[in-house]
Amino acid sequence: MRPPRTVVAATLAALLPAPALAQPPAPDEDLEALRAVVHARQVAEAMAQRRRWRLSLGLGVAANTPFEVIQPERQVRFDGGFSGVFSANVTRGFTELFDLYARLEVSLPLQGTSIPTSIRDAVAEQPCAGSRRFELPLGLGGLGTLELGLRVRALDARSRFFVGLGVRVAARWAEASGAWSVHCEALDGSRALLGAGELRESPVVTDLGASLETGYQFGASRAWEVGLRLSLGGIADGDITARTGQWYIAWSPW
Amino acid sequence: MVPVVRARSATWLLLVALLGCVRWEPLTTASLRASGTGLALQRIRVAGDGAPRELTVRGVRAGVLEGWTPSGRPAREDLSAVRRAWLRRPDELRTAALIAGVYAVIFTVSAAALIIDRR
Repeated sequence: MRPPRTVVAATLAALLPAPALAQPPAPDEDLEALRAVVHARQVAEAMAQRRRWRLSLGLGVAANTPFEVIQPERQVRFDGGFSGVFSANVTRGFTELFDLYARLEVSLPLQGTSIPTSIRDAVAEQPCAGSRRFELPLGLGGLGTLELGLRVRALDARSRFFVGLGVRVAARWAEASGAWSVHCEALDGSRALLGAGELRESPVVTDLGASLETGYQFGASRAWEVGLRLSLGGIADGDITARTGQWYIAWSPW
Repeated sequence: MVPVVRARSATWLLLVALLGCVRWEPLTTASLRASGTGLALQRIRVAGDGAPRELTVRGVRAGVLEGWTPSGRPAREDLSAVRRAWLRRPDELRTAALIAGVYAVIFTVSAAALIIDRR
């Protein structure tokens, strides 16, 4: 089924700046030349704003998916949930359509827990006619990300919409300390203590991933930006999954 | 009748969402005179003694504003008869608020799906 013509026209119109909408259908030998001049002027204005290094500061909210990893010394789990995101971004347009960007980002707080492999193995050796239930201290932590990527303008150099694709290295950490215990829960509902103690864990988990974003720039000199970002992880392990989704707003002071 | 009205309303909502918002920014006649081809292909509204008229600017030459009417016919306005003028500009703040809202809805729905699915 073909989309209605008005919807196609409206979609194209949204991706182009407003002055470009007002082009009349009148036949005129000079009209094409005039359009070319106006187009060139608008592209030059857009490029003057983009063809320089620009710093911007961002604030956002992220939805994190639960994330579990087994390291040689411990098993680490980060809970899913919402966190605040603070970012510093540097961008520079290097062609009419493409921008380079780098981003340093911190996301707080995340909740995580960890159990040393020695405890897990010791508990696993004890007999249990049921399931083992781990009660581990939950600690607060965060997520730090360094990201490099490319942004492409939607259809035209003058467009305020962009789509970006980047590579990111992320490090999650948590500080968990307190009492732990492991119970054996039998099918009849009885519980038997398999082990208990105190632990203090500071796990750090690194992750290689990718980021896909889309955004809209607005305001004088396109100083403001609002967007959506999806981060994927697990590239190094070959197990690519969504890690965070993010809504953000950023501002460039100059 | 009701489905027709609903379809029209939906079309208008979609158009507003996609086109964004525009505002009419007052323009002095002096700056209009001095614009040359600086406002070329932009939509302006001029008012003299009669009703305001809209046209797409081609340029200003010898005190005459040349352009096209919304229906595409050539039009000329003598600037000495123009009392007030407005330039149609994109209302970026409203457009951004609209887009931010759309992104926020997508984010909320996706976040709920992501978190609930993995819980």
